[in-house]
Amino acid sequence: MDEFMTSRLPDDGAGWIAIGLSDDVPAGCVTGVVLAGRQLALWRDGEGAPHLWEDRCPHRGMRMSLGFVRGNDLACLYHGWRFDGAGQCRQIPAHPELKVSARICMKTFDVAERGGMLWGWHGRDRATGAPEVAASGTAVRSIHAAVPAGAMRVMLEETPGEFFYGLGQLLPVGGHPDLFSLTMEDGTGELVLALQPISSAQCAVHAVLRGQADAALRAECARRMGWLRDSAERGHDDRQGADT
Amino acid sequence: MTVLPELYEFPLDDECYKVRLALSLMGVASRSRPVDMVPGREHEKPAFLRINPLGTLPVWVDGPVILREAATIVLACARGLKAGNWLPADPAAFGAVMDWLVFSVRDLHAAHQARDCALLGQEEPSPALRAQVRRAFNVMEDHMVLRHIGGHEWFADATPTIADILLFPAFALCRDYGVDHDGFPALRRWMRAMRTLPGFITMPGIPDVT
Amino acid sequence: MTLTTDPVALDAWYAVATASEVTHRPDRTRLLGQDIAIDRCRDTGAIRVRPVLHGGEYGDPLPVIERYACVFTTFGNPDTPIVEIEEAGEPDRRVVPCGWFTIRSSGPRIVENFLDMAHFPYVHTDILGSEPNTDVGPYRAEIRADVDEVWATGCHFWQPRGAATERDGSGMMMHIDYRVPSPFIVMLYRVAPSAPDRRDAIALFIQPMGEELCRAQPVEFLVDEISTHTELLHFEQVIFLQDRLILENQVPRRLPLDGQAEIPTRADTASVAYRRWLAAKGLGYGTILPHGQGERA
Repeated sequence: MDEFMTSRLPDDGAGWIAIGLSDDVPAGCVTGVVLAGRQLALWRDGEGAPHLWEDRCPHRGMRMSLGFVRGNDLACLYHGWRFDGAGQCRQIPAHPELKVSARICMKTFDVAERGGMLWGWHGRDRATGAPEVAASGTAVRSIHAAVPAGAMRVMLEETPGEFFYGLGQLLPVGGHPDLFSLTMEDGTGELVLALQPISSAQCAVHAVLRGQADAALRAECARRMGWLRDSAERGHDDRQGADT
Repeated sequence: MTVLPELYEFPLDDECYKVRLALSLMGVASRSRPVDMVPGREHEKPAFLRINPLGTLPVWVDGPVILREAATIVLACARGLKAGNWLPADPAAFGAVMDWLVFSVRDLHAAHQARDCALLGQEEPSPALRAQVRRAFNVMEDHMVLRHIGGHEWFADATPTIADILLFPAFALCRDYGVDHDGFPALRRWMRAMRTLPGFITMPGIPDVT
Repeated sequence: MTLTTDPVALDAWYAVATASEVTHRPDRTRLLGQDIAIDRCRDTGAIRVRPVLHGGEYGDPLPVIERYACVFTTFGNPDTPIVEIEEAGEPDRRVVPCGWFTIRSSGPRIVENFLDMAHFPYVHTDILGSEPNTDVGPYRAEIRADVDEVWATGCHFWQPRGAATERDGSGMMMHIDYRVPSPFIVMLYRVAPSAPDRRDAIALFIQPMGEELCRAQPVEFLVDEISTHTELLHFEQVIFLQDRLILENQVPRRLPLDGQAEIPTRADTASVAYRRWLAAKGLGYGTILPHGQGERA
């Protein structure tokens, strides 16, 4: 029924998937993300804690990613129903005096924050362990590209030099198909990329710097990420064109 | 008594919203002249064509001066302000403003077309048209990523300018034609900053509640 | 796309155009998955609605009735006539067709949104509602078996600027009755703010092009000697486009008729009655029927 629900993802195993940069979801902000084929709402409450929920109000199906944050609650844009950090509905404005039933709650997903990125847990059971990246990281940027994750992975594995020449060599991180790392040639820092499958036609790549991360280097890496997105989309268009 | 300039407009039109937003942010007074664009097609009737033979909205009538393009109306109003930095005098910032002004007219025209089609058409906007819009948004996103890294939150200068105003409607309204905000984190950040400006106003398609 | 086989959807009247806009040049649109062309016959001046067949030829003309400024047609054999709106016939009524707008949603979601008061403060902020006046008081909703319609009566809601005449925004308690005379038509009646002894009527005519894509036109039947035509239009259009953002972001787009699928509250009494009514009819077009009901091939 939903294109996101039916798209097959390459990685069926349980694990953490990068869903955004910490810096891009400030307190009081909500956005839509896709985790392993599910459309979710990612938001940060007034005290800075991130939350990852089903992107759908249980009342009338409105996408919560269009909602608004009040204090530590997320409210639905349609009728203002307010849900606390645990996903429990606390207030129904149409009936201000009503004690809200405990069964009105959001389906929540495990979210972690590590290495400058936000991660969502993909798996039947609750999350185990933390994302396997170093704890610190300075935001470079995220790119969203209109190509499947598989095509992006091939580019990152086979032709990283087209985008990252002069900086260092981009290499896959062992044991993790969606993590890549580049150690700067001068040894001062490391660029880390995390690939996020979105749909059969879309993916995102989130980039952070470790170690040295001055504005000039962040800007240079951000530019290269833009090239990566544009090249991936152009290459994909060309291949699609050749098929028809 | 001074005679106020008149703005001929249609409340659901994104081009007219550029002007309304600018007037409200810059504190410029005018008189609204609502035009029945849909369904009445009043903009194609002789009475209106005598004011603007192009048959387009918005139109700005200030004494003998008639302006027919949102960007030039906003530009002229900003030029008339006694204070503020909506139209910077500094050559580099002025150049950047004008560059984005042209971008808003030329490269974001696809956004206007896509919205028009989604609102009034028989078919959804074509994937090709939506891809064209996304490419224009990518250019904006790339720019705002670098601005943010450089410690700036606005398109052309350290403070908001008419470039921000003229670029805002296309992005803020893109859900109207099936393009989500989610893939443009830098533009989302900028959009939130826009909403905090004194005098900021919305139009249908942009939520009021935050 | 091809014409639906859903019998309930087929056996209903649909507005598909504004009569005054029909010309000799055929206008193409779509109803229930079938492409149709609407034009005015050069010889008789009569309005025609014809299916467009594969290859671009026209099929046999469909039934056409001009009413409420609109052109109505049907593919089936409706057992009820087009809704009777008594107010439309009053000589001093201002009839305002507000234009057709396209919405990526299902017809039933659009109807349900129109029946809803609780969203006014959040979606129509400072017009039809505003915080903290969010309370929806008790009202009565029923399926009227004798006329086969859904009604919600005794509705009231505090509105800052409930009509085009209310310019100062000081607000008033608006009294509203809602009526669903057909699965894809919804109406409201409210006390006319400038003539408190009479009622304004507003109808929303929905043209389902597909299960999840519609055009819809609000038509107002007002007692208002104050507002200009354009003011009346723009007031209603702004409201309608504010709802469009909601409607295009509901998941799923089709209306779930299973009572467990979405959680209603007391304010949704009208919506619950509408869903029950559709489920009893077995309407599958633009809905998700409860499991096991009306499985279509």
